[in-house]
Amino acid sequence: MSPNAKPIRRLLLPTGALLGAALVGIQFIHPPLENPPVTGDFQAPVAVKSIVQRACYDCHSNQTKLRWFDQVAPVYWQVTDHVKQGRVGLNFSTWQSLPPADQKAKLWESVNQILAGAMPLSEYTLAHPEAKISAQEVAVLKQYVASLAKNPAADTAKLNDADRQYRHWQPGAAKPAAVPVAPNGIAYLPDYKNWQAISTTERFDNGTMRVIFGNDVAIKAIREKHINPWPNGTAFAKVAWDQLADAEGNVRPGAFKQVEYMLKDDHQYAATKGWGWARFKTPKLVPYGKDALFTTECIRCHQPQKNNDFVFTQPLSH
Amino acid sequence: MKAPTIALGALLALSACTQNQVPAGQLNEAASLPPSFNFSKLGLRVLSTFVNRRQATTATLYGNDLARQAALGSPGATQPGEVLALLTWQQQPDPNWFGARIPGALQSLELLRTRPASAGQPVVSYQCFVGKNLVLKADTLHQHARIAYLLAQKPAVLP
Repeated sequence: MSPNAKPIRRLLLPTGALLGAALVGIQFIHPPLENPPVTGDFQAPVAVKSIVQRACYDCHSNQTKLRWFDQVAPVYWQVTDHVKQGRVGLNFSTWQSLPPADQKAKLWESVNQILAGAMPLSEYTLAHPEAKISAQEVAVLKQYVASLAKNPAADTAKLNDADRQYRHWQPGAAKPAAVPVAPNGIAYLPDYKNWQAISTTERFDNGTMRVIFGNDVAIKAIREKHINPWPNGTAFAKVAWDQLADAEGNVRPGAFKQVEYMLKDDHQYAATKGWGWARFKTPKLVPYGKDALFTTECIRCHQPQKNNDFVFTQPLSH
Repeated sequence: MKAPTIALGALLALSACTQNQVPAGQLNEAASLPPSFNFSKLGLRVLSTFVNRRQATTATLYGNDLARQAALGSPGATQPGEVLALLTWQQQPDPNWFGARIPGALQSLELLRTRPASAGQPVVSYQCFVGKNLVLKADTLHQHARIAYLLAQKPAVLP
């Protein structure tokens, strides 16, 4: 129709041939994906383990089974990348090397990732529909992790821990010689104690209780209901303590575990989803993380809340 | 051992359908205080937090500087000018985290103030506001027990 139609058709064949040749060519770029030995496999009741094996093991174990279509580049490149990242975050083949508390935390986090629809990855289940987890199977997983949560009355060790900490804690007095700084450069902010509480959480998955504080910017945003996204300058501090329960079921805060910060600045922290992340553990406020890459852990856990500016807390106004 | 497991299973099966993400950008309205109460104007700081497993409630204790100093001191160190406030909510499952409970319906706000007395111990006044709108409760039953409870609480460690 148009005067250009003919030259385009004339170009079609060589372009197609070139693309075909390229597709064949890239098959030779095939970095190997090894299955390292299984050193301590995940143990759980059969009903639980079979779901986990079927839905998670391709990316979260050393027993990855690639189908033929996974092996075709460029899909193969993405698949190997997913598997490598998946194993770093969670590997059921080296499960026994994790301390029991970390194992439990990983399982609760995994169930929450599934509940939020973040896992298994939708691009994975698109090609591997057999990895999808049904509502019934989710219930099995929930029941299993719930059976791992035990919140007994506090024992002497826990009570002693709390007492010792309380005796050594002199608010306003003993300040650390230098302000602790997380590996990504974020310093501990002592002022969080003067911020307002925006919520509390009882975590029966790990036996802690928490208060979430918000600074003035956060409180103003809550009052004006402008919290998605949160404005730059917003700061949250989440404090966690051991639960100390008595025989009547009254629970109070025991030993201080940690304070965690989220500081909003979509320019300064653009590389980490617009938030600066930090965690300081024990009353000595020991910075968490070996290097600045610790934030990948924060982001991975908060990822299911990406439509909520990565914030789990649903704030209340005072 | 078996019965609690089955009960837990049944409970989870019931709650399975209610697992929903909170719509993005929303406040926890049920737990929020009426703006007219102006709680933040009291200028109090968080002292501690509590859970009652039997009643499925959660509470946050607030105090001014004097109340904090007194709570840190030895029992009976009450002085005039203290303000303590205890907010209590019914708990609800955290819709964003299976494994957590957060404040649900606002249940009460208890407010304690100490005033100078002509002789001896300071005078303690106690008020209890209840419900979503924090209406002042006329009933004074259990007031003495509540005053004793509030004055006995230690602050949580906040380094």
